[in-house]
Amino acid sequence: MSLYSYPVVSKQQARIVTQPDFEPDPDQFTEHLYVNLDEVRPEDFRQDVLFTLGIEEGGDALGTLAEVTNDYTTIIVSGHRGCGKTTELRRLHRQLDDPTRYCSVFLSIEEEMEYGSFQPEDLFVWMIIKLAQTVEERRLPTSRAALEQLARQLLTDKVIEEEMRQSFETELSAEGESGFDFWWVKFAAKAKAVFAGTNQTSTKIRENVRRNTLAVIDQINRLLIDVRGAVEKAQQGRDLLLIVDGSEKLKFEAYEYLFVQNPHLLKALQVNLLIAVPISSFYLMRSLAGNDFPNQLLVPMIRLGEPGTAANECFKEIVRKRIDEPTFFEADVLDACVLQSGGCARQLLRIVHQVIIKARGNRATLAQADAVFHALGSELRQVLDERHVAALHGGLDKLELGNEAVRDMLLRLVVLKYNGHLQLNPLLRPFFLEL
Amino acid sequence: MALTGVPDDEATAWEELLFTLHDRDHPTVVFMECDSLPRQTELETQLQQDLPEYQHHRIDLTPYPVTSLLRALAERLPHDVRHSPRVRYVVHIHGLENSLIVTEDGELKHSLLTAQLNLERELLFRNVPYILVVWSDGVFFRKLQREAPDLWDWVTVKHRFSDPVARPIIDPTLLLASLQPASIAEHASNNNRIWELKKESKKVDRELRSAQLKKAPRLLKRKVNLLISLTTELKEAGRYKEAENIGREAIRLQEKLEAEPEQIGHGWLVMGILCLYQQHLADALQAFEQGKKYLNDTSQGNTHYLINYAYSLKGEWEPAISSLQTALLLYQENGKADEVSETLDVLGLSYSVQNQHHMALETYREAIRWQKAHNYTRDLFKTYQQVAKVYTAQERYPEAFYWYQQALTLLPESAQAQREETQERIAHLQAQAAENSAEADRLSGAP
Repeated sequence: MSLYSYPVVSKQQARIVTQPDFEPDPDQFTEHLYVNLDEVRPEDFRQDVLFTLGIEEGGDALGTLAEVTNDYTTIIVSGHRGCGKTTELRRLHRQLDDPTRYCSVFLSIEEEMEYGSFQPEDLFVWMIIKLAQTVEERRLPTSRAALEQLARQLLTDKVIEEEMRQSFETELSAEGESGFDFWWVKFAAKAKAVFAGTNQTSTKIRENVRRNTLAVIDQINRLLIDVRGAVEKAQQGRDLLLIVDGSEKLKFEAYEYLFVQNPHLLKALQVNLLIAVPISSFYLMRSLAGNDFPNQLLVPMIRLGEPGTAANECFKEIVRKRIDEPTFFEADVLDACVLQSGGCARQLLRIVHQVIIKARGNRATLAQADAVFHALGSELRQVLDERHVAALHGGLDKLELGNEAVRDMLLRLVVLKYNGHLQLNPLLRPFFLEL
Repeated sequence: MALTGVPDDEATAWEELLFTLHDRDHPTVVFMECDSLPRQTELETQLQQDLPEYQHHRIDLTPYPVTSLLRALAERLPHDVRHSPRVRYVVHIHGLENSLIVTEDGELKHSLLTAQLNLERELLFRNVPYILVVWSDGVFFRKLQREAPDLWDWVTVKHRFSDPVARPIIDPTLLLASLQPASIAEHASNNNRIWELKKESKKVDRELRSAQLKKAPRLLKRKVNLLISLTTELKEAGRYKEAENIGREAIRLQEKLEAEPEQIGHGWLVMGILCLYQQHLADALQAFEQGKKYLNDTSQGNTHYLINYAYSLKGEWEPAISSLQTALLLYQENGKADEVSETLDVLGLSYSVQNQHHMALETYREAIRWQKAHNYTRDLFKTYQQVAKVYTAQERYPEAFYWYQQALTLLPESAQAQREETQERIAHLQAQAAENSAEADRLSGAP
């Protein structure tokens, strides 16, 4: 990762650090770039999560996990794209991964899996893999019995062994020093490729999990007990926490299977679990899934006010920490960009980045900013079809979250949900002046 | 360097693009939209010249069914590019849109490419050391915008360029030949008939000069009928200019007589066709527009179908396709099943000749659905062959082979000539595939 001196003054660096995909050095991010939005979020998402996970937050210090119980929970996390879900989940992972709190295991769906081939049962296999990797990486003193049992159950098959050897160049052999428990670590290296394709290994494993899901979950629970004990013994945490990010990009059928049709599966897991779902599915599941998952938390959008208000200043800070405002913006330009962001951090960065490009890195004028707003608004307008337009023309106050077109607009950031109500994305306002 | 001969907004966009891409130490993903494939190549060449600080590598993914772009890059890019130092290369990707439709379970289906692109968004930005430029058309990018919103949000460098050059969509002689069913030489014997009609027409003129007022309408109607017949004969004799003059006179009289609008409208369509033959394309469009004013919905489909010809000959791709799509919609609304089937075929072919393979397949997918629903076996045979040809053009030989085989299954035993022709195509395909495989082996150094 490149290291920069913030806020940057170079045109070349400014165009990089304002890109939505820009990934700063983690230490630099924490020290120079991170803006704590907790005080300006209408609901304290973070406190709700910490409370549910048994962590008390007081003052500047994060509390410990005071009590370890056998009461596990699945927390469904959602929010608009670009509202900071991944940032918050990674932040929670870093902060909660502590000897006085949790041994936190982070599973990034996009890094591990391929969309097209994903089946809901893959999630359970990946949990096993991540736990095995955690045991290896942290050198946890587990008995490995559970890992061995799961390997016997899912991986010991002549066909699988042969295919792994021939097609994936991986020797899943119990000979020599490696035991069955190490099979998972070896399998992990090829798991993405295995599950991405149609092959006998992925077919057999999936069939096995599908036919014996509760038995597999039972074994996973034994593994969790094993790992949990090892974590405590090694003083790396008081309990286990599993965070699944990127899952909001999966097919809706996956959520339907896991949260609506078979909620008992995730609920049977004896671990605290945070799992992200897309905002459209979040609201659909609320109507379908009932009270199966009472812990559903939305990372809310920031409600902006007039320039100078706390929320607006926080948002300006996101930019000011990255680039030197007077170098790149004339007066009021950054305020205008913030207002057009609608309280979505990623939208703010997109806008700012485009304004810098429009001005070729020189001091951007309001006219140049307006041109960018219009172009981005036109781009967003392209996704609207007849049902979206009809729903909007019915009035923003009439939009129902149960309506499919409305959920789709939430997903696409056409409408933004703040605490209690919906608003049209500011970039679209010139196209819907009547609203 | 500035982009010249383009609208101001595109010249500005080019400057912004260069500002964004010059001297980067950080990879990124760029979307370059242009509906014209030749223009994409021109722009890519220009971009390579304007960004000399990088090495450029081009990869055309057309022959490969891509499920994961990341995986395709890992498998297809040379080692030097894959493992290059950060931002030494710009990788230009073409043909990704050809993986939007796949042959699966014996059908043409939408693939999961866009959803997978959405899922691997972070990896595309962070796990590759080069700048990735995706070149494609508007259809692909609109689909991506709808179905991969997370990826779309992250890509901030997106530009759209038009093609300032009107490129021929199809060989004009071939296109015109499709309008003219019979050889003109066969109608040399028309001359006698033409002469007779002219003689009769002059006779009617004489009668009109001496006729009483109340007989005039009857005579005028007779005159109109003669002129219409004469127009037809002259057209078939290849005497287009003459036919046009006569035909316009007929229309003038029809309007004077307040004839049935459908008749007048049809007359204008004939004028338009005559102008097409003479490649007076602006006049043809004007005539078709006139025809639209008179024709009812049922006939409007034909008008738009013919308008497509005019734009195709002009090399104006977008209005040509648009008018064909309008014709299709009108035929569908009016229950014209035969016309729907044929128009889908022509639409698919129009996309094919432009190498817009994915749009061709999308259209043929619709055609297959329609033809199966209406039991149009003969049309289905033709469509299967067209699908095979698209795959052949994409060098996707297994799929091409599959569709030719499917076409064969539709043929009755008695269709010997068609069977032989299809088998000949399969043999040619197999030879092509073997040649390509040998060439691929040669390039890779394989024995």
